[in-house]
Amino acid sequence: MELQIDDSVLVKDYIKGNEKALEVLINRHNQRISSFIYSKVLDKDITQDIFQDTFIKVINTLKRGKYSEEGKFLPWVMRISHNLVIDHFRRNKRMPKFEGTDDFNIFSVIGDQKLNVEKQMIKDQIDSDLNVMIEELPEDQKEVLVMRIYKDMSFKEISENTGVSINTALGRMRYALINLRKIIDKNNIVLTN
Amino acid sequence: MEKIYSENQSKCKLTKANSETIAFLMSYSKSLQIVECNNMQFESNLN
Repeated sequence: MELQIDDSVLVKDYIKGNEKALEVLINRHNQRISSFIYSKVLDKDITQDIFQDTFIKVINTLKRGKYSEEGKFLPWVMRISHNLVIDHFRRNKRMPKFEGTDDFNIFSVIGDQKLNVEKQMIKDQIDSDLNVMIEELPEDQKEVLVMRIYKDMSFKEISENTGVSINTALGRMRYALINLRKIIDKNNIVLTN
Repeated sequence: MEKIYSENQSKCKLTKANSETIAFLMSYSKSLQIVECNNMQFESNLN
């Protein structure tokens, strides 16, 4: 059976300058302290951080000679890590951080409305294709379509501006759309994003 | 907020700090020097 050196002996050795003693102590209690922290914070990275901070405190206290040996090295280290866990939660309370869980992700509710680069390029392409096709339309139909769609005018305004009746303007708009569809069908153009 | 007791009760898991963390702690320990002078302690960290 391997003889295990007592924690208190290792602490004394470390205070005297034996760095190896600290390594033994850390490795000996690594799992217990890490698991203790993990059971509280439930995050691996935060566990690593708190574990590290705990031992930085331990090292500082031991090197300053402020540690009083009462045969309770592990409970003392656990207490330090416990306090650091509390500090961690206090800090997070002040700056709450929202993280989506597996069941619910905030980004499935709020999306980025802007198009991505690919979709923006497709949209630009469609817009320019459409402009070319509109140029193919007869002048009177083109005029009504541009006023209605691009200038967002009402048919009443269109009729006033072009000097034709509302019904004529409506008819021209109808034919403009029919003709556009014909051009699209004829040339097998796909206009979807 | 309501507390849900029905699932995920036990989140205890055995974990270990990884070797890099331990290596960091060891080198931190080696680099740290405490100098005492007139009842005051000074920390010096030699990287």
